[in-house]
Amino acid sequence: MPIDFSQPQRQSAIGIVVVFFYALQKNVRSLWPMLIIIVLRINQNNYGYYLLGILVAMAILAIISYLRFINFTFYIDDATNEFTIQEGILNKTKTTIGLDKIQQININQSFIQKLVGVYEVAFDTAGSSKSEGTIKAISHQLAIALKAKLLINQNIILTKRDEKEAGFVEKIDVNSAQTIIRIGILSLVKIGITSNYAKSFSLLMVLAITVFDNIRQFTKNGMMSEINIESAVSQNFSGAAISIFIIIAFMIIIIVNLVATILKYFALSVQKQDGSLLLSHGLLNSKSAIIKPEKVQIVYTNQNFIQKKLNVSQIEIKQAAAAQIQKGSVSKIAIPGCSVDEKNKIFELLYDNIPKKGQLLLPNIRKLIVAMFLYVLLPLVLYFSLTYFIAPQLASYKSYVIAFMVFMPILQYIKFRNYQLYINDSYIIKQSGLWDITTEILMPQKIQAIKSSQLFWHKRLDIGSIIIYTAGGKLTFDLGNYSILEQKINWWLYNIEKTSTQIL
Amino acid sequence: MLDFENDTIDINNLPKMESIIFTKLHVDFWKIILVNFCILSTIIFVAISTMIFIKYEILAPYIYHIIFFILIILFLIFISNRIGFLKKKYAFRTHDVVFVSGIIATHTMVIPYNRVQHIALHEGFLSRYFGLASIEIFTAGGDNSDITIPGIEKQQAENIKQLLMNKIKTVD
Repeated sequence: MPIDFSQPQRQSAIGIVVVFFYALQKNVRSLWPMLIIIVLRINQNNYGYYLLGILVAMAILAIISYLRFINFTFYIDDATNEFTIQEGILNKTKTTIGLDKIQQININQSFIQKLVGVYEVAFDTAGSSKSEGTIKAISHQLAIALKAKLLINQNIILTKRDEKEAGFVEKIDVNSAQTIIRIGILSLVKIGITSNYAKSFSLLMVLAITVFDNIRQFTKNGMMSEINIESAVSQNFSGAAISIFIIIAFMIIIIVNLVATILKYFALSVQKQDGSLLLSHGLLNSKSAIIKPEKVQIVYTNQNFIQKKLNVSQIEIKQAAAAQIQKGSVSKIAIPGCSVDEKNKIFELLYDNIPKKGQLLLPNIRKLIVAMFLYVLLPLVLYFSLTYFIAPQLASYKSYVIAFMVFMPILQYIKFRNYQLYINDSYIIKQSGLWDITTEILMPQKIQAIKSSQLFWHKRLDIGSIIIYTAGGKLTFDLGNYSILEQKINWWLYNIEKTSTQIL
Repeated sequence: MLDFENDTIDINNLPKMESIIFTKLHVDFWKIILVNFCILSTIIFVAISTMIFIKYEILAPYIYHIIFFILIILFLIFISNRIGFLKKKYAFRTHDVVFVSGIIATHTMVIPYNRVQHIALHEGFLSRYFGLASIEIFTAGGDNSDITIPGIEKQQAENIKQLLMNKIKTVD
């Protein structure tokens, strides 16, 4: 059924429920201190009044929601190629977005929306950090049709510009989406139990410290004496207790990671449609995103030793979107649990081929020396001077220090070995990491600016660093051979500057 | 198709960053830095002397240490200002803008014209007195990927801005 978007459209009728729930949520969130007081005051004698009050408040909210729903319309102006959203009961707002300015269209579903069976459509433009417009409640069919319509329109604009021949684009079927990849639950389990250790561990530590602090606060006010728990803790805080704590912490991390990964990425599928990739996933909150290969800036792949053995890796794609222009948040799209085949398929969709590693550039040995100085020598000097001059009791941790002295240099060496840059004519690939090995892939034509730096005492040694800026983040390579880097910069600049097109 | 050429490029004959002839910042910009430096020194000295005046009993034995310490800090700021000024240089090539800066390290930043998003011209209170302006060149590469070239003569800055605007327009 073709839907005419040139006429102002309302959201799905059932969407009133969603609008109502959002309004309720918002009001409860801002008024909860008052509500608690009211609830505490309720007793046998007056509950009738409160019930009446609540009903009246609900009714008012419902009327407001209805009016809001009635006044919310959206349409596409075919003449000017603009998408317009009108909203507001008394204060009317009209948001107009040029179709060619829309960078990304996301179809999401929150829990309430899932219950009612409607979807949310959000638009991202290059103008600001937050989403410019959202339609809170439309049916899936309408959402898909709208997304396709907006995308097709964009294609028409593009092709009009390119070939002045709009005819053939209209033939594209909305339902031409073709599923490329489905990430199964097994892959998610594999990724869930093998990633994000460090992040989760630090979170857990914070949690443990807070809990411990609370217990101490609690015991201070009676129950146990403070000295008791302190000494109990310090007595047990050695040897076996620590290892048990670490094992339990590790298990909690794995379970939490597993659950979080499955909830977030359940039934992840990648579809191909009109040259873009459609990504959708999620168990409770369904999310979807569009990846346009020409907007992709940097692609990261993440894999550690265990994941390599299990044949899974995580892909992260950074697109040129609204967020980049603002500070902080970056539009990142993650595809976890890809096998080698699936990874290659995604690369083929994004780049038309699988990026090959080119000429290898390694960092100077000084990078290792600096790392050794910062992470091995400096902590050791600090430890020994503290033990010697200020706190002799630290001497009892000698065994840990010895372990540190053995392991830290090895870790630093592995990190140094993993730090590599590959350059060929069409790709710049950087590899780095200690346990989780990250590969960053970017195409030279995505370069926005290049910064090369050299410390004055490195001039004679011919080593220096570069930072490559793209619209989706930067790539840094430290302490490489400076003449080779400069030669590469000249080459990239030549390639960028010989074409006169502006690329984002 | 007849105009199409696809000759092999001699990588060694590419335009080299190393052999660019750079322009230094305008001499008057050093005066602006000096004025700013004097203002900063005055503020620090006033602040320190009021502190010493208020807590004279406690600070009296350390007055010489404090003054010595402040002088060293100011000297370091002065030196880094001077080196920073001397090292800053720029070049507008046919297809890109190059800016060199840094105190201990030498940073070379290159932005091709076909990546420039927009240009801003800044004129401070002191700059206006000396007839100088600074040009800021923005790309889509985020926070640190912009170039700010200070200490350009106002008229010249206007010209450069116009030149860049034309370059961007022809690119579009």
